[in-house]
Amino acid sequence: MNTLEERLRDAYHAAADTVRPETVLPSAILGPPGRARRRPGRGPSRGRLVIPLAAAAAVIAVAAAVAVLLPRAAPGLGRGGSADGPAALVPLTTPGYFVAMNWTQTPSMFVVNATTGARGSQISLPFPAADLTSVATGDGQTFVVAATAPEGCSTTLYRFSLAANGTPSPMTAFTEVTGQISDPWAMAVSAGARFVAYQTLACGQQIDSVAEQNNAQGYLSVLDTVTGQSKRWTFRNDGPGAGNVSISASGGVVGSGSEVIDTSAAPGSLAARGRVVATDGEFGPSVNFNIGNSPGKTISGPSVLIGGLNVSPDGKTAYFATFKEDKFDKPVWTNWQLRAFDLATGQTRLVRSFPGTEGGPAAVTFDPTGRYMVVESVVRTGPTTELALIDTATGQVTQLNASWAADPAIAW
Amino acid sequence: MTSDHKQSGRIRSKVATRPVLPGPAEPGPAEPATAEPATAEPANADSAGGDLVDDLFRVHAVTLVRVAMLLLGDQPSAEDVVQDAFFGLYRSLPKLKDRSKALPYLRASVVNGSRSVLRSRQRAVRRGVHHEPPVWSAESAAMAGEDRKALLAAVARLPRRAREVLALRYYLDLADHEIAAALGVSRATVSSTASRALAALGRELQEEL
Repeated sequence: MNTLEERLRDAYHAAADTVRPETVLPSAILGPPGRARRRPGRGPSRGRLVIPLAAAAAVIAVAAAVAVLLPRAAPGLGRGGSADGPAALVPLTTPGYFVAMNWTQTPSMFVVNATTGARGSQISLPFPAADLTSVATGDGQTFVVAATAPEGCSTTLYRFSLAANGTPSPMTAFTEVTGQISDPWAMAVSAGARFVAYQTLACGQQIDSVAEQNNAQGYLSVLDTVTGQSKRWTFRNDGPGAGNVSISASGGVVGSGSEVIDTSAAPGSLAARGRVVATDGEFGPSVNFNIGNSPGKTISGPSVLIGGLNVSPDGKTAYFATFKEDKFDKPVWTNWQLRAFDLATGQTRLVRSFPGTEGGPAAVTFDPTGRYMVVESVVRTGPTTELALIDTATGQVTQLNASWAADPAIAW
Repeated sequence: MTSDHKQSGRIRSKVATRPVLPGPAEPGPAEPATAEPATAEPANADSAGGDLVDDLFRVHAVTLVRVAMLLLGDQPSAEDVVQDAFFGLYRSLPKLKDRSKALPYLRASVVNGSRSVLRSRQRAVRRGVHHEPPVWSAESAAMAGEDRKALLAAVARLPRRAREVLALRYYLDLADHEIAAALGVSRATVSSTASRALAALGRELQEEL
């Protein structure tokens, strides 16, 4: 090989040739529905089920027709507040609007009615849409937005407010922090947006491969926007500190991955100074998962994923989801539980199980009072996301009509 | 939510339903002999459209899976992306006035779908869910040649757009204007991105030596 371009062609073709047509397509095509085989190492429901276009479209058409003809019965989250039909709307006493960010394609942000789920006005951005990475609020009124250029090593923070009628104010930049706040769950703000908690990776680190992801050094920072002072803790990207960031309304308690830390703690290692709320395996034997079409079948084994941890606004409780893994170490998404960890007593309680539900609280967000959470789950009839309100006091679920939600992050 | 579980391919499979594609033809065997019979005519595509998708699938599916694999590093994710791309094409046929644009549409869909998967992976990793190692990783035995692996590992460290440009240019041998159409950028951007990517690769490989 003489030139870099020739070497590239050679390497690309060598890699591409690892995809053998006979290894990919025949099994997918020949497998009838009930006998479709899943290859080890693949996700729980990602088998290649290939049928003629007409049949698929027909099924979708039927599903759509059924969706139109039948009343909506809280499809995404199992039985809502009532088993008899659609759950009644929970009367909200908190801000009636939240901000949602669609981030999987070209990011955008818009206002959503928290009671109905109806999408409102889009929020204009004073920077390229592709730079939008996160939005957060601690009181439903003052929002902080993170803008990170893909190849940059800093993040600009903007601020805007939402009026009581859901009208957003213009966005203004107020500070710049080092490192990339690279995804929607990497930032949280306290009430009034005084404290901003965020995760970054060391600049220059790529996280496109498993090994690199595991080895990446992460930073959890809390910035006091009034004094300009900040504090930082480190974590490994494959450790319990990696994951959803949340902060109490006062800014005194921060959640990061499966860890919770008091912000009065000295800077340094998050693992040394934080507190792990739950560990993999902690709820293993008690979780009953449905597999495929075999309702009630229990997977034995200790592996449970902990995800979507959020510290409540009062800083007293950490809410999180648990998932089971299958024997291929893949999460079983069709069932999850919402649990609450009392930071004072160390006791964990089950808030609610979501049997037969695809989804989880990746977008879980509290209303400012901490009573309600909005979570997401997957609609079974289309590539959109269900949103629902959970009353953390009663466990009641109210489905929102959020057909706009492709894969949102939410700030409430 | 996330991660790979939210790929629309999975959602559709949950619908019982199963999408979507006709069978391959490229080297491969297999006629879809036991594929399920159609139970109704699709609402949004005529039979000529179905033939078009069939033909495109027969000729290009494997190549598109390979391109997606080069962007994603693993075959199962690549298959999902391509399947979604064909499904999207099928649904968009009524709006596709110029059917010669179907292949560019597919390429763009594959690129966009791959971006979506990569973003989902970042999210999944934060939950502790890791995807399969790329074929060029040290732990993968799928691909031979340490030099090749090192080169593609270096490519994987480039910015996303650079990786896309290089794969489309040096695997698919697309012209810059075709790459521009697939990525939704200008030809000048393709050219400058490729130039910078090659320079960066050259520097990195030089350093490794």
